Amino acid sequence: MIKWAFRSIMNELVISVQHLTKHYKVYKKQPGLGGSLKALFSRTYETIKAVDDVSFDIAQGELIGFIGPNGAGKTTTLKVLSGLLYPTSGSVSVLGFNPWDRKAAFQKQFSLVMGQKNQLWWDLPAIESFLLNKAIYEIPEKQFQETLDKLVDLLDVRDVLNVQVRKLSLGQRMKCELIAALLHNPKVLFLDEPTIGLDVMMQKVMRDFIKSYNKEFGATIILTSHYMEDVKELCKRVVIIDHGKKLFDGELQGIIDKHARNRILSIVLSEDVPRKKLEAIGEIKSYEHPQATILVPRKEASERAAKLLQTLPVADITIEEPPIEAIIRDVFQTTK
Amino acid sequence: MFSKLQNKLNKYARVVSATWMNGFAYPLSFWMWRLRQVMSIVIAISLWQSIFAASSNVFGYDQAHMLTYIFISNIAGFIVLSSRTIEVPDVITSGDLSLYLLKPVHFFVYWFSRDIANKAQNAIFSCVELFTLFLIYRPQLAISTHIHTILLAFFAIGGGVLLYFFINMLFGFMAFWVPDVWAPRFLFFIIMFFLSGSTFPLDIYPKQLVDVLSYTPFPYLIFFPAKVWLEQLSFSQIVTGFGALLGWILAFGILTSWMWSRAIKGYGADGR
Repeated sequence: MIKWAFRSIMNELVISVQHLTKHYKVYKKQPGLGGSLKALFSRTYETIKAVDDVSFDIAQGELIGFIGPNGAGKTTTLKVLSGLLYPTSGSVSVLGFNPWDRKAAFQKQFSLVMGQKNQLWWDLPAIESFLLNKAIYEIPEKQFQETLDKLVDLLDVRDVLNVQVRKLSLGQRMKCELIAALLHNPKVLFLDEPTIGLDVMMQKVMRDFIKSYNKEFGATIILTSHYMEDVKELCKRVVIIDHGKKLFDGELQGIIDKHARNRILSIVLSEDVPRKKLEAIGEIKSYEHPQATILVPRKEASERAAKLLQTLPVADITIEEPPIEAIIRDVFQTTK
Repeated sequence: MFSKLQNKLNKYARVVSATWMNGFAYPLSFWMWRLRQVMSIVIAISLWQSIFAASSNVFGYDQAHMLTYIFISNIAGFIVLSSRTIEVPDVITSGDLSLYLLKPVHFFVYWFSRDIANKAQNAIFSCVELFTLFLIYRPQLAISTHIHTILLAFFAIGGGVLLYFFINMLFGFMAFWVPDVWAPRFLFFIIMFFLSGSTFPLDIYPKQLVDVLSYTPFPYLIFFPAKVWLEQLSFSQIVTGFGALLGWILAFGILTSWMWSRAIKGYGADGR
């Protein structure tokens, strides 16, 4: 915490969220036709705490991973930060603005990219949507051309700019979506599942692009993703949220140190050895000669690896952290 | 100051041009739409020509005045009733509204620009179609070319455009509370079809009904602008008509603004 407070003082604070709460009223329909008829006269509503007393600060240039299961409150938080939703209580400041005021000066400095919907005009080529955004964001001609050229080259979409959006592949469309969202050089970028549905190659392209945009433009970025690979590769700091509550806020390595109780020894044996000998080292996760994976207590990992090398015919060994997905799962389970 | 205004105009001019291009994206659909418009006029002209074949005076109209009304009301109808604002409920229920709220655009002006683009497209093609039909049917028309009449008709049609825009927005904003606005909108369009004067002049109805209708917004969409152009209204009727039109525009304008400000606070940005 002290580390974050120090960083906030040292760097300019771009986003400040204090005790943010957002509650929804949701209509609960009883099952069947009877329920539908009853709903014509009287309806039962339930209050859902989408975000519940969440606070965090983000300094300029940070790239934060926002992690949580479906319905955790990640997207709701991004919507509040973008001025789409009015908070039930708490205060939010982005670039010194109250997002809810939806001032043009604020809107010209941020962008929200949602992976599941697009802003491009479906029946027109992407370039037409770019020109529309140029007019909407009042981007000077020179700046527009320079930014467009740079983004088009970075994402390699020059040959599809004049093709109708509906004829583009998902990957090409997502790249064009990103360009449309970045033409006005936003200082703050909210990326909600930007790699959803993309193949692994395209995910990597998008990740590389986000990383370089963050570096080159010094943009502050909040990223939500279900792909832990995105978070692992891009974000030093993560905020974990579940059922609207913040569970963790700190460096990704911090979660690993705190919640990864084991390490994984992945070995290749040069000879077949009895299972019992491997059990003496740690908990066997899999063993199919010549490969085996063994879970060992994190603190004793080096010691156990040394023992393994001394007692068994090992051809190769690597010591790995457990998958980040498993660690995050552990965070959710232990904090329930 | 000037460059700020120019930037704003550029913004919405680009919306207009994108809407135009979008209108041409599906050629078959576009030409079918035009065919539908032409057929509706052909049916109306043929119907009234058949009626006037049996009698020279129907409901107080002779053939020339009735056909003139059909032509004028069609021009007014093409301009007033063509709209893209009918897409607003879908924009709200699908959650696409978020895209507009994120950008420095005024939602009302954005959609009014789209409406204007659609109307301009409709008006230009209609002029060609109506001229072609005129050459085919060679009807006797009594269209006024007095500059003050054309100016008044222009303002009356402009008023109808604004009124129809706000009415459509009102139905659109209902989607904030009721996900399916199709039924009330359909009912409204059916009523409008008979009471706006788009298919026949309203003064063929009994006088009492016409008097009652004058207290509703419907006649001010097409019937009033058409009658102004036809120079069939007295000075006091014109003044009263414009007063009522302005009143309805203000009423619907205030109501839609109020609905918008209320709705947007409770907007849940669903579907995202």
